[in-house]
Amino acid sequence: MLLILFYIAVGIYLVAAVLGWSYVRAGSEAASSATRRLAAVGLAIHALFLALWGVGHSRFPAYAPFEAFALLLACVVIGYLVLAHSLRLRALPAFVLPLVALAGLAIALFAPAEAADRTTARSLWLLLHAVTALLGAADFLVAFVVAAMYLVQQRLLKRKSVGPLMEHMPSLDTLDRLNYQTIALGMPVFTLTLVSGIVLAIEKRPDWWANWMVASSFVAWIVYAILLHVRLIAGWRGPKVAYLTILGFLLVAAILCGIAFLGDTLHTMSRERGRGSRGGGRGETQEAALCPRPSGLAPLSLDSFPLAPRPSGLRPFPSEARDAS
Amino acid sequence: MRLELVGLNHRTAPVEIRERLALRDDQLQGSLEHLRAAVDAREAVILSTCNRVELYLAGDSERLAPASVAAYLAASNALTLDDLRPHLYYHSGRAAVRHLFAVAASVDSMIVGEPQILGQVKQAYLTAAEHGATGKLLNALFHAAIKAGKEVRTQTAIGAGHVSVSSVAVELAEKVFESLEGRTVLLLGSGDMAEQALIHLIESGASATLIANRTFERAQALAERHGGQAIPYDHFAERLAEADVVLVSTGAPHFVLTRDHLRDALRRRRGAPLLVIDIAVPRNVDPAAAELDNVFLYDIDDLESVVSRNRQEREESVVRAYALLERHAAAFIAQLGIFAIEPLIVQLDARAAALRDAELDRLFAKLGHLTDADRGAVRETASRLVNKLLHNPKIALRRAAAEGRHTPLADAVPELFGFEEEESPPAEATQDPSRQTPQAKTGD
Repeated sequence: MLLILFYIAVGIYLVAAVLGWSYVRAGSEAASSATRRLAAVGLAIHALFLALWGVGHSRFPAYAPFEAFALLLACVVIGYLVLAHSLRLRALPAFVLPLVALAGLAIALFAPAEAADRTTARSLWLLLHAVTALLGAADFLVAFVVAAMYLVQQRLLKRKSVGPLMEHMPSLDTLDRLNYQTIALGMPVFTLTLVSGIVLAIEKRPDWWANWMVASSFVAWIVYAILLHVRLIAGWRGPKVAYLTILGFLLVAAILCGIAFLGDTLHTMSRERGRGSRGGGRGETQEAALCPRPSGLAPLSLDSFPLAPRPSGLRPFPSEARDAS
Repeated sequence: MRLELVGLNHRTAPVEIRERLALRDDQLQGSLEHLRAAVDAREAVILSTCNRVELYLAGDSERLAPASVAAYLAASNALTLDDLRPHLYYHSGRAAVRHLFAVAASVDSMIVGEPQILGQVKQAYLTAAEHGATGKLLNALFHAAIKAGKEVRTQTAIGAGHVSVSSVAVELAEKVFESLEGRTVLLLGSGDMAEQALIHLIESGASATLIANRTFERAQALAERHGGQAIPYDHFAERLAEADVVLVSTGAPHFVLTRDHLRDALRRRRGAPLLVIDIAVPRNVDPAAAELDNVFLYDIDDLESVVSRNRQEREESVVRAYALLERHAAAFIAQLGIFAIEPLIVQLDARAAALRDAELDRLFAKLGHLTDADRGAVRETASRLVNKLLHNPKIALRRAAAEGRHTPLADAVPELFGFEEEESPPAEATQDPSRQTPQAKTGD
């Protein structure tokens, strides 16, 4: 039932996206501010949904793929609203909101709603991993959209199609600067995601490196590192940087899709302890059969990381988890 | 009260006449006073811009006629009436309303959709109002015109797109660099259009200007005029990397700026984009340079085609603008009828009151025995009778006025009620168009 709220938010984003395009095509100020208000209403419903969902499952909504992606999309919308407000990037919603709406629909339909092993779910490393992954992905998504807008505007300028579209798109300078800022901000966050992910993976499997996700994450990290390097050292600007940004995000998006829809083993290996299926269609036994838990691995908990700080709100539940296993 | 407009604009008068009639802000007050005294106008607004001088007048006086306004204009500008008359247009009543609305909406401007005129109309009105030269009619008229002008701007594309080569150049620069603040412009060569573009770029914030010309003195003269720096022509390639916008307009029959020049500049600019505008004919920049990443090359044809497309789009929205204006004008003209009919109604009331009082005096002279209370009762009955008799005619006149079809009714009133001995004819705002000169049809 709760999901209806999420669908409503996605529907509102979709309408706002259409309005956003009408601004870009015709330049109506009214359409622009209506887009912003509508997106804010969608975000409020979206946030309410996440809050209720989190309360219902008594956890921060970042542990199961579906809720994590829902949170990610909320971050993206917040990012758009902040940018639209502070930089007057009124063409942004036309590009961001369709992506948000489509991704929202996809995860609501296909992403698993069950969390991984409960014990694991309370680990600080996992929280760090989940939160940085969310923020990093939201940030890279904005960088991707900005790069795409750069290429559109660049093409308009090269092809001399002076018109309302060019007029309502931000300048190349703004888009290029924004691209640099988002990636410079995203890089340390993504690095934390990678490090925490490796820490978690090492605990789970000895051959953690022999995994497509780890490999593609490394490649994505290298792409972004190269990007920052060529920009800062070699002074690259413009379309090449934009293409690299898009390549980097395609890798990130592939990883995200893998987690959301394919059931990557590193993220789902403890699925047999899942909290039950949202739609009732995907049973726990089936999940367990698909993703047998590797033997000989202790479940990850705060106790595995004696040096990790323990905020008072977070308590491991060793008894329940260990008894069950 | 009648509304009269006498004026001239860029279509009816050459600049020599327009500049003689144009008034500076500090001359307006004196002119308003003279004008109102000369033609006995109750209200007056003078709209004076570089493209038009228009006098909007309202009043009831016989002297408030196009001929006397024209005579005043000629006399006050040391012109003969014969010199001035062919350039003037005259509008009365609703034609004057439509004309002002069209002016405020910038559909009557030299460059259709130019944004300044609305502000100028507003300023002309405010100046007149400050000096007490406006009243009920012109207040209402100018408020309505400004509102109509605003609505046309926001609801049609009349002001959309740039319609000069230099403003298109500025728009392009702002789409590459966001703002011209802190940017450097390099002008290679000279020429009117290039200089116009340079001025526009500087006005939009460009902070440094480099100017190179085959004749160094010419570069120096240009640099002095625009606060830039003249550089030797042979060294322009070395300074190319400093420029964000390059304007090229030399008389050379070959490419002055080559792909290699630009590639070299880009490398030294560490990839920062470069906008190159080639205004020269024949072209001075190698078109192959456009293939370089981060170089945006526009030649004169590119800019002209943007300009002509925008002009065409503005022309197309003029039709929509007129439809909108017509709605506003019709609403105002209904009000105008009421302004026109009110003096007649006052006259009618006065005539009836005079008849009533005369009859009562005669009656009371015959019946000397009546007490004061009796006289009061008789007076009251007489007044009620008069009011009841006039009630329907007045309602009908007002209704007809609101619908703009009061002329026949108003014309009949003096005859029906015996006004012939009265001093002035009834007010009439909507004079027939026969009084307009042939060129006077701009506002309709």
